[in-house]
Amino acid sequence: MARIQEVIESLPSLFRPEKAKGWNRVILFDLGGEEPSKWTLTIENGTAKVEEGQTKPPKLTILGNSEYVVQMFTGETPPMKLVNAKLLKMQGPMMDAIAFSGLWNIPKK
Amino acid sequence: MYYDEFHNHKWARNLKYARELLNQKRFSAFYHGEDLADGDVYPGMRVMAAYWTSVEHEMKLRRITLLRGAGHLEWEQDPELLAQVESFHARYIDDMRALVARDGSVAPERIDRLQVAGWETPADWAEVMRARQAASLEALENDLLPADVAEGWFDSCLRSVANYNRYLIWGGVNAAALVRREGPDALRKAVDAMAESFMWEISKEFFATVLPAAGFEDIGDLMELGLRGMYADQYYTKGEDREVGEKTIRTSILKNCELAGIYRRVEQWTGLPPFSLGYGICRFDEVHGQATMMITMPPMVSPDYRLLKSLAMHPDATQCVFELTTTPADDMERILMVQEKVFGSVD
Repeated sequence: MARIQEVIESLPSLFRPEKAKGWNRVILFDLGGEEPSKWTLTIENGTAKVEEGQTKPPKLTILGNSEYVVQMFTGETPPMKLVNAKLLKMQGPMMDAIAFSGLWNIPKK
Repeated sequence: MYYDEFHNHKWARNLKYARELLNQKRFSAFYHGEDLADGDVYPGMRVMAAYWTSVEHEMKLRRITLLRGAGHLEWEQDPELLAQVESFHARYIDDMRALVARDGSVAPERIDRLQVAGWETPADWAEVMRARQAASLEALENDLLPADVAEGWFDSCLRSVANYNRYLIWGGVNAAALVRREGPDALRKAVDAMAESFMWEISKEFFATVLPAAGFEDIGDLMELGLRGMYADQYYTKGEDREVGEKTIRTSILKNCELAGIYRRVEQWTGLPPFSLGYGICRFDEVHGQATMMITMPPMVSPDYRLLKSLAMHPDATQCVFELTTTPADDMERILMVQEKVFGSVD
């Protein structure tokens, strides 16, 4: 299985800027499980940038085990399935959680 | 039975099942719900209590919205209409007493005690609900559920069901008065005048106010409520999905309708022909559904939502059929618009 760092650092290449027109947000991954860690994702003016740790105050926080985030971005499990099963929680404005799920070119498995 | 059990009393089936789970000491299923063998779903006390409280708020909003659209806010104090509401609601409460006695879900005297305490939504409902949720979760860690907590869930559900049907009946009585006093076109005009504003007001009420107060803030909680809450009152089945070009079309089938069942009785008891009040339900249902789809569909699709067949409006209908069409799109504009209209600015 891919490691969380590899997956998080691949986010700028998976990002679909055309889906994020006008949507600028700071998102924190606050992860437990196999690889406890924090990552800050900044989406601004059509670009996505990741930094290790919590570097800015987030609008949306994604909580859960690192392995589920890996599953989400490698296409093993659809994001909403993980959310419905309460394996991942998205804390923050509801519409940001809805928007977030549509921003990524996730491989289909 | 004054009201149709299939349309208006599915709550009784759920509370009967809840009592059976409690008697079997299956506390987690009692609280969290479970899928049933016949394809139905028992939503669980957490979801049902929040769902019914949100519907209480919805029916209050529907009632006042129609009066605003009709330009008759003074009818809130109309003695003839208030007497009808009291009489028709008393019949609903009589049904409730009969059903809990038949099913053994609670003693019928519980209904009397709740009535004495008052049907109106208590000012502290949210604090009480969240405290009961916390107490339930804490006890469930040891696979227990104290009797006062369990019975508190029954009381919460019974009061909400009684109160939301009171406001639903009140809305029906007002709609009937509009048709009787000013003709069928007056109802249609009042609804059409308010449909757009109701669409956003009800979304704010649900998603920005009542559900967060009921502890349903996280998107996972809201999805759970969306998927399971409707089974509190409805017999639901998913229709066939189909692809037409790049569009995906999904149908939802509701075999019963609480609102149609209530309005049918109001039509009968006020001397109106069947289906004469249906537009007062269905147009608001449709815009409520449209807004919900605009809120919950991700930005990679554009949603369109329509009511195709309605128990309240169409004499040949045997069920309500809604159709959701999604088309691939870059629809972040919708997300931002909905954010602003329902939740206010984030930045």
